[in-house]
Amino acid sequence: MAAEMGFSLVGLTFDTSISREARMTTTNFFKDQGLETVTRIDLHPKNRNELLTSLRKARSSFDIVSVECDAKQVTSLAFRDRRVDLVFFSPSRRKLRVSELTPGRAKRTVEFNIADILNNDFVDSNLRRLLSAIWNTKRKHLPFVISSGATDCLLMRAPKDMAAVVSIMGLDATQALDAVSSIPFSLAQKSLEKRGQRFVSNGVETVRPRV
Amino acid sequence: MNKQSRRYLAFRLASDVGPPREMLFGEIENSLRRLFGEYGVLEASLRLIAYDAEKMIGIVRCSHPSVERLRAAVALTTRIGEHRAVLFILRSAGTIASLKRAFSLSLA
Repeated sequence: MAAEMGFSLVGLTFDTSISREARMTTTNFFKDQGLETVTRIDLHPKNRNELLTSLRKARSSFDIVSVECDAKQVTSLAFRDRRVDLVFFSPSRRKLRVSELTPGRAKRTVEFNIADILNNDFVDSNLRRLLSAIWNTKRKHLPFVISSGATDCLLMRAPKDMAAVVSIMGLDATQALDAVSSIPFSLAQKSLEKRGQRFVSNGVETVRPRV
Repeated sequence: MNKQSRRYLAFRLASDVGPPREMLFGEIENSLRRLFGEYGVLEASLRLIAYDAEKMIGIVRCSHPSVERLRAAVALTTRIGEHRAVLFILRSAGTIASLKRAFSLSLA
């Protein structure tokens, strides 16, 4: 269904308890359907130390690391730590005050899930909350991605449809499309580069001399 | 008065149960109404052109400026009747013929 919707690359969220073999089986299944995959983990730390410990454990095993920012000290660290790829806010928060939470100089990509507004019957109020959070993020000049955040196939939405949801409320159409395609794609591309054998560090790779 | 240009959108439904044509159209219209109100529905001049209940693929017609609105309304549809469902746009085109060719649909 993901291929039919127009996805070419999907991010698969796993838990730390899931073995590498099980992850490989799932990613191979998607590869057989013609979809590229990146593995990701969602961290839900309660405090700064918990975040640092989980980052140390998870960073090397997953392509994308995303952090739920519920506490202010977690947000502050997540926005500065280079090991973090994405940050997202809990949908249960009454007000997603991105402008208050994020430190000024940090640039981390903020993720918004469409599934958060589809999960219960209050679609309209959830949509309003999501859009105000997106506007706050935009005002802060932070890059953001819109993802489906689907836990089952009935929560999946087509990329162009997701872009339409945010663009109808006044967001620039190009920006909305970037949020579902080019920004997440560049994030994934960076992570896929790290998988290569030539990768040493950001901007550094081994070059084999010609014989 | 100038004739308003139209767009045709092919959509797919994924659900446990294939709903009847009227219920499906009513649900899409309701979603559009919830987001944009009665005026939004009128502006869209929505019409279900074809629906293949077996393939769960349909074609819906709307006014050209309402395409994005319809896409959003479709994306925010979570239920058809009592059943959970997902609707997504497969392709948008300027003529019905091109969509029918692409999905080999019969008029229903």
